[in-house]
Amino acid sequence: MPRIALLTTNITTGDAVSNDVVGMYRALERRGATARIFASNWSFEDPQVWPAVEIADFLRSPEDLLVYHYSMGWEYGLELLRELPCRTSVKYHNVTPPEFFIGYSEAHEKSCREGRRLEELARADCDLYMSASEYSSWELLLAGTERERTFVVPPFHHIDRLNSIEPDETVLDAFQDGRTNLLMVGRVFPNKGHAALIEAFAIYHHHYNSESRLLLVGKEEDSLAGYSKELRELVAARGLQKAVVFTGGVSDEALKAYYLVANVFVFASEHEGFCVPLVEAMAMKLPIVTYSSTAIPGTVGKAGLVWKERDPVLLAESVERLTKDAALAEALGRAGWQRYTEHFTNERIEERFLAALAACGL
Amino acid sequence: MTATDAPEIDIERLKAEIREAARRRSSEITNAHATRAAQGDGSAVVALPPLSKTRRETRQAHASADGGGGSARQTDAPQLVLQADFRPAEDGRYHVNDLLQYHDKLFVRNAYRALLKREPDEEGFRQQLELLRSGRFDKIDVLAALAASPEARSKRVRVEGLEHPARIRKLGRLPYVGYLFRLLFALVRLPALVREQQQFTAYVTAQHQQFADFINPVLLDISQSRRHLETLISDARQHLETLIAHQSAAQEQLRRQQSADREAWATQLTEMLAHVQRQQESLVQLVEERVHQFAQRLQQTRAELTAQEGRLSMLLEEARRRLPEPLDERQLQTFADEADFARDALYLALEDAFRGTRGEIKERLKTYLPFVKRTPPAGALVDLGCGRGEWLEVLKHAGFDAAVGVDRNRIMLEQCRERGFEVLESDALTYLQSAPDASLRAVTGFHFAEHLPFPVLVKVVDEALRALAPGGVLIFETPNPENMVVGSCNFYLDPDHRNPLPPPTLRFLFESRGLARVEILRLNANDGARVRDERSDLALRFNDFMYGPLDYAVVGWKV
Repeated sequence: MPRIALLTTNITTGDAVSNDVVGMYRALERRGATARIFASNWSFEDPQVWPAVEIADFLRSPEDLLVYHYSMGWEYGLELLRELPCRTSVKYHNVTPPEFFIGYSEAHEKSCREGRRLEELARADCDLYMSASEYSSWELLLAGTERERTFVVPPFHHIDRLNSIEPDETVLDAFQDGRTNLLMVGRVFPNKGHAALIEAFAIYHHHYNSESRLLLVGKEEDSLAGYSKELRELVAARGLQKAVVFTGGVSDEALKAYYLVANVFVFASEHEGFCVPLVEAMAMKLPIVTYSSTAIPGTVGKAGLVWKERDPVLLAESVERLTKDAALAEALGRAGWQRYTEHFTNERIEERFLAALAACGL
Repeated sequence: MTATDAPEIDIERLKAEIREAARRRSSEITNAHATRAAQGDGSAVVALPPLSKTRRETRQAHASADGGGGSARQTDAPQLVLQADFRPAEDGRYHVNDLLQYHDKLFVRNAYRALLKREPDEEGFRQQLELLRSGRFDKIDVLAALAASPEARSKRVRVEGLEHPARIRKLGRLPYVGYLFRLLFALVRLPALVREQQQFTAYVTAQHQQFADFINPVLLDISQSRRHLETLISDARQHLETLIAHQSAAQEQLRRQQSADREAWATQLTEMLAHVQRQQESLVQLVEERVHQFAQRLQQTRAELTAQEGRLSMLLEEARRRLPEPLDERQLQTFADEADFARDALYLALEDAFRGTRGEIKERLKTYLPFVKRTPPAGALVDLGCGRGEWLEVLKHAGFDAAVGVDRNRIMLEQCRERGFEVLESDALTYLQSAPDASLRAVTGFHFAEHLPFPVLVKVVDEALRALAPGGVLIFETPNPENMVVGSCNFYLDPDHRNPLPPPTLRFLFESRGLARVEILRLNANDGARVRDERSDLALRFNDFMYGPLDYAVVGWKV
């Protein structure tokens, strides 16, 4: 029985890559495979995580398999990929282009620049390349991976957990007040298009519906304080201090509550490798309005309003239409839910993962 | 699982509707354009004033100034106060002049505050102001009307000097005499009126001055703001120009890069083309060499062949000279005939392979017994091309002893003789020609006619007719080309077959040469393979063409 090692740099609760690693581990475990998670930093006990330096003791046979979750530059990871005597595969989670961080954080810029070493990944000549989306798989193919060994496998996620927990009451109480709530979920990072979203919300708030609120749910980082400050200045300049809420990082309970109080999920990100929050919104039957970019159209499909033109009036008008027409909003929410059940449940993702393994004889 | 993403929504149509609504809305939201235009630079976005909000505030200020009756909203702008402030008297006693010194809205408001001790209600305020502005009421009338109301009386407010002029105004409104009263009163009041007029003029002048004093600093402020704005705009323009310059520099660089790339590609392409051409040239050279080699070899071979031919003819010449005498025509004919017999074994094998087993054939041939039984009982029954002798056997079993088989295949004849049948090695036509007139009871040929050239077949029919006794029968069976598989394929399984003979042709031949009561029998249909759909016309026709009778017989009688 071949052994399977899932390798990643950092693993922690609540981030997309970690959810994917754990989801993959559980899928292999259910299949009866001997699998272990290896990382250089970790923050939980269950499932057990092993130090990355011990991976060579685990993968000894040529039949064993390494699955490297690639999401940032990590020399040691690439080294293992090249040198371990077993079969190898990569799960590519996409890396934000460094240009987004110029002027905000040199550390992020550097780490992203080092993280986009796709040609090296391709040269490692793995038995299987998995990417989170069609868009990401194109990046791999352009870097030189082979069509027959490159598969789209969306990331495993924590939506099942969201469905099973109770929402945070305080959030419900604070924002269920009759005002229209627009929700965006995503780290406060410069690629996420917060400014564009605030501009569109300004139009909506001042010209369509002054009884409205924009909820920006997502972790803020000290290293990107400049970006956070700019956003707050923009909010002030547009006279939206009372209408835009930066929640910071939130618990799963609170996240669920935000999805429940929201009327529309709005999104203006400029770079996404897959975008789990869009799938969360679909699972919560929340209608989606978003600008189109990178993996977003692939993830949303026809289950949301996806605009190629980055025109704030279009975004505002879309929100207006959805908040005025309850039947339409419900139908669009249902379409999202249907897309979720057909393509993006953990069960479907598990099928695609196992199919990708099988297609490469793994 | 396809096409279920949005079963109820036509996303594209919805988007088109939203796009159209947004387009209409966009022209309303002029600010949105400014906002979008400024999006090129993050800092510029933050530095710009929130235009949309300013406009909203302006709108609100307008609304409150119209309906608020003097309770102006607090703003940063300096307030223009044109009339002295009014303080309601605590004891409720006024002189009419205390109130008359105010004008327009302020007058009405103060009258309410003095006489009714409250702020005017919206409706009352509007009515009184309208009466006053229309000239139908003067201030005395307004005061008198308010003072006479039950509300004012209950408040116990006294206005000295109101009663008298109010009464005079009332008299002035009497019918007919009212006018005279007003004229008289005006005359009496003329000095006072002149004084009031002078006072009013002075008041208006003072107010104008106040306006001027107020407006000048505001204008100054505006022009300063304008200069400030112009500076801002020029800064922004400069900024924009710098940006554009940067962008065009970047474009220029990109263009240079592209042209460098193009040149590099062009060089690469030229190299590749040169390489391909070199390869092509060497290939052509190779091919030419080979062709040349082959041509040389061919020439050599031809020369050798000519030499061989020369040698051979020499040898033949020598051999001819040494042979005793040349072969005569008869000897040559024997050689040819013997060559024909050399194929007998092959035909026997073909018959065995394709015609069917002996038992099958006999079973089929029994069909013809009734015809033979109807002939007069005298003369021989001749089977042309008797082959393995199945018909002869059928006849023998049925009690016909005078049956004779004719065939040229020596192996088959040998087999027939072994079975005890009387057979002759002969050409069918030759045999018939030698038979006396009216000497035969029946002449049959099963799968025989199709082996003959047509002129020979005609002669065979003629000779058979001649040799048959009256009442005798002539029967030929042959493959049925109406069945397309037979006509196009199976007929040719036997390489000795000439042309398929369609039933009408044989019928015509029999009839035209003088046989009577000619009939066609279609036999051996391939029923098992038919398409089983009896209701379908197509199936019926298909069955006819593909699985129709494999053979047919033509039967004719000598009269």
